[in-house]
Amino acid sequence: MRNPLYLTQLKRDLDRWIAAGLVEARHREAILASAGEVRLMQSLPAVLLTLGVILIGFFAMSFVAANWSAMDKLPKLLILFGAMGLAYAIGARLIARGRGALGQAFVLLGVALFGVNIMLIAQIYHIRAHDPDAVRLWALGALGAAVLVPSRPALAASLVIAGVWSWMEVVDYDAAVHLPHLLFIVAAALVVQAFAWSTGLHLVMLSLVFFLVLNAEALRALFGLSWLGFMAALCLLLLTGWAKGQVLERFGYPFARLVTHYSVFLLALTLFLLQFPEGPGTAGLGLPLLGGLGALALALTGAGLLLGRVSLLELVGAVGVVALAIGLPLLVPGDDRGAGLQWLTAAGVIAFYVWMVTVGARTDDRFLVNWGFVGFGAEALYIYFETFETLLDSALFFLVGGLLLIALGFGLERVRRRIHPQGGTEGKA
Amino acid sequence: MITRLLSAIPVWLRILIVFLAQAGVLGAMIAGKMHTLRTGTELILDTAPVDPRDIFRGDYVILNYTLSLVPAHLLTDPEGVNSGDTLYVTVERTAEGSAGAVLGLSETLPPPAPDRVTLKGVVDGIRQTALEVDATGAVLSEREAMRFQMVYGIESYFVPEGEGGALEALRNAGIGALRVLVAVDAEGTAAIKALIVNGERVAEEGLF
Repeated sequence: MRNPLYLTQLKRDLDRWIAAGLVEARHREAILASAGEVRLMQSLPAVLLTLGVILIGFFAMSFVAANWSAMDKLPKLLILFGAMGLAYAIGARLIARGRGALGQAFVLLGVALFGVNIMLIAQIYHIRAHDPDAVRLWALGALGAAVLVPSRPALAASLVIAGVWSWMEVVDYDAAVHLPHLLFIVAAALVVQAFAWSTGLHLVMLSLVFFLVLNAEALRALFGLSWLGFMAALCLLLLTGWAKGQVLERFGYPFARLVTHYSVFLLALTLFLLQFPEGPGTAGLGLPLLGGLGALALALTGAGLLLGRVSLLELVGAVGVVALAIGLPLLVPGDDRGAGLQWLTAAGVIAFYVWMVTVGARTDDRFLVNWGFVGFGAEALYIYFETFETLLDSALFFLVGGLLLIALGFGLERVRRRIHPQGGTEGKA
Repeated sequence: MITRLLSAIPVWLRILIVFLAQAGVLGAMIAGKMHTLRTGTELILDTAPVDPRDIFRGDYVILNYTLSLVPAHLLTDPEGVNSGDTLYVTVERTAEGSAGAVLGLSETLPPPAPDRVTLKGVVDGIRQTALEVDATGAVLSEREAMRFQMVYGIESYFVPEGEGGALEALRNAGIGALRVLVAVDAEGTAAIKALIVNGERVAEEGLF
């Protein structure tokens, strides 16, 4: 199945091409079918089956919680192993007969029962251990099933379960940076790549975000950074991710676009958060770390430029992000940034969102355009409500910013007309 | 490459491998406890339970033992111990079969000795006892007052839903009203074998 974003785009384009007389309307469905569209109604049974299996998994867990005391150990164990074996056997039979969706639902049930069985056996034998270990065991079992079957639902389940494991280690047991979770995500990413599963990569990316959020405080402490230094380092790391995605895209890596999208999206979010006042203590800016990350990001962006994947405009944007991420911690005097610096940061953040929209429009990348607009709107609202000094200052900021953008728009349009003198109005961002 | 490798194996065989591997993990959990229950030396421990509820695992009683806090000074270098470290607690086994005084604390399993049982535990925290004097009235130094909070893997007893309260009531009846019979194997691993209520064995745990 193709990337749903691609199919959505194709549908829009087809309707446009049909309206323009470039494509005959009767060919629309055939083109979409050839592009691999799976209609919702066709995938609905699989979705419902998976949801049904999740409910049965919850039923099993509730059943465990109710503590079935009437039975001896042996019948209990026979039921546990029998139910898990039966779920896998039905799954194998259905997959072998070509009923993949139904078979996968039963494999997922087997994975769910594996976890339930771990807990039940711990209950039967009154085993008290480090609780997250049981969840880790469950996640590993799910990952094993995902690789061997292979099973996408099991892979998704393994990532979710691993998230629960990490949450327990960090929140309940005060683990420092929970690196084993990161290793698990990397292993899952390798599986996703081996099976070329784009939805799986979304889950991997979301797991990475979860890891970062969950371990943010511990990571900051580990590197001895202030919050400002940590956020600046994160900005540069994400910029590196974006640049790496550009280079990978040049070499035809199938998930490169996803990597760049996630990196830019998170970078936009981190830059926004960079504006909020620093917590206590500004020591530990980690300038060598910031410098190293900045150099790496720019080197990769430069490589992208040489390979023809990155434009000069994008390079300028990358330099701007590096300047902001390194410059801001350098300029911050203690906890108080001062109004001037706040305006400067806000201007830098606004510039980044404009950059996103501009690059997105130039490369026909709706993701960048849409999220650039969302960021732009959010930043404008933030400035409006924050009113750094006075409402008049904010009004002046909006006026100057608006005039600058209009001037920039006119300037770019003139350049575009000079390059494509015969071009009409089509293609305006 | 992995997809090509997997496609050479029939799907039923691949899923059978998954099942066997997962069943093997579960089997290992059971086998470990069975080994302890079958071969372990019986020891009776005094408790002070409380009753929380675990959403995944139904009702269970958390069992705190008198052995849950052990004097740190029995170790040569107690300051070098951290939470999560494994320690071996050697106790006297009385004629009745109950745990007596703590005789030793070590980082490795000591050789077996008559009338002694060694339990393997994990340090869950380091506390200072509120006591200022010991049982003989001698004043405790700061080092002597230091205690390791130990976890032996026998701190949960699962009960049918709603029955945790009855055990709580027993706990409130006084020390000795609720005791736990555990089996301790040669490696120091403990497993709950039975509850002892007012001197009588109840809820005896069989192997199967």
